[in-house]
Amino acid sequence: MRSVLRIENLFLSIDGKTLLEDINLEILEGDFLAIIGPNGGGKSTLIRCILGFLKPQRGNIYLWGQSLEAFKRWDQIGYVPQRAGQDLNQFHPLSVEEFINLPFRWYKLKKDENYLNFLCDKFGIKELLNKKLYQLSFGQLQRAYLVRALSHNPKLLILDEPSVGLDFVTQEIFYQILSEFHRRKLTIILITHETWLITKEVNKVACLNQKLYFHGDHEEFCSFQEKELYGFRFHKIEHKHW
Amino acid sequence: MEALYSYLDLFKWGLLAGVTFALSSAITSPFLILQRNALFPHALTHLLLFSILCLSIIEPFIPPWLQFPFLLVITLLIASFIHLLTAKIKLYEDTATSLTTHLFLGLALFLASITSQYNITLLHYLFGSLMMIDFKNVLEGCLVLLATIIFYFKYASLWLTKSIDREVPGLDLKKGELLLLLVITLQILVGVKLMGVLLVSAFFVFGTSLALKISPSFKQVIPFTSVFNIMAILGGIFLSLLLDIPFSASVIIFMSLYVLGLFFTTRK
Repeated sequence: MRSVLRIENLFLSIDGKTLLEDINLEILEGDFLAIIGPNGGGKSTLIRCILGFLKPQRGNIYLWGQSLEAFKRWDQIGYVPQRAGQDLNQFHPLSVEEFINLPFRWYKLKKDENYLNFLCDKFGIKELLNKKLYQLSFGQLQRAYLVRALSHNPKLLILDEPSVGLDFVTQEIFYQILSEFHRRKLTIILITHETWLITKEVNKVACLNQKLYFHGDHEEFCSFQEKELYGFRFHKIEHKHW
Repeated sequence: MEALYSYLDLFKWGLLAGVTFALSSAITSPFLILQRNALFPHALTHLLLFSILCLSIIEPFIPPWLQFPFLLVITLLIASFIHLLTAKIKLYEDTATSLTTHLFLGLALFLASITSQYNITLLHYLFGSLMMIDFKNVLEGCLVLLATIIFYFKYASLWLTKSIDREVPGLDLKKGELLLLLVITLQILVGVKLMGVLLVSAFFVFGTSLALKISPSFKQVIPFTSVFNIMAILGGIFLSLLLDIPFSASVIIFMSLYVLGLFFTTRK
């Protein structure tokens, strides 16, 4: 399997505070990696380093074998940020259709109408395309963000706590669809602190709290003691029905 | 009819410069409002007043073609003081903008008084004048409009994205924001003679707010804003002639209709 992401000895500190230390991680094509850890553990910071938003003091990041400095094919990545769309004001006239088409303008790509229709159908936003973005409910907005992240058919999808604020039913549908895309060979990195989301679809788990406490497959994770990570022990419930 | 022709001859350059300014500000202002930075042009005008007064001191020593670049560079340098305050002292952007604005407006008035320019010329700069516009100003307006269109086609997606996303992989949103502010500085420089330092920024808010409110999607916002801004220029000229009041004041009176429009278009 080809390496999609490789991180070597990553170290980042901001204003004298160490946020990430000695991070080594590799993700292969078709992997579904869940990064878990407590609040403030550096999960989103790690993603921001991977996407080039933050520059670490030490270490290397490689995307598809290319160092981050040389990497140009950002269209191969789909990204749903944390608290997506929360700052949107009720004045913004952007329609849902315009919103999901933005990646084609960013990366100067040709639009695949059939695929876009399929995505809108799949995520149930076809009827919402003419609505303004601010008119969507939180769940609908999350789905619109996911469609936007997938619209240009990326090879790697990065989701930063995409299910926060969604009810259980919507969460379940959300992750069912995500699993479907994973089965179509999409590589996924999912940040969450909801450990109950670690399902059998997730084949790799990374536990992060400044340092990487665990990086391994799903089975190994089930025997991992999170006491070190969270400071206390808790029960893991495995979901087999997805 | 003859009177109308003579009036037209009197303010033809003002009208043309007004149309170019109305169009160029219509292209950038929606992005500025959506990025919640609507007060920036207003702050910029205060900084520009300081630059104009600096220019008035060194005017005898520099060639005329260097005056426009001089104003641009000095205004941008002072505007970067806002960035310095936010980046180094960690002030909120609006706090830094307010501090810088008041600081340089105070310095501008100080310069005006010690160089004995606290007079009618200063009033022209503060409130603008349709009659002061000449062919050179129209040419400058056309060039800025052209630059705005070029920048729009190159960076509009960055400007729009900045209003909904903080970060996007592979996009330099900060660079986009800086270029937007640069284009707006150019627009203010050409618009200030027409509308005056104190009122030129109105073109970035009134028509745009209404356009943002009534547009069914984003792609209609710029055409709507252009129409509203041009209507404001024409309505301003008409009211100015009819009521014999300064052009900039009559434009604002006309634009107050847009504020009424905002109330009518907001459904309970």
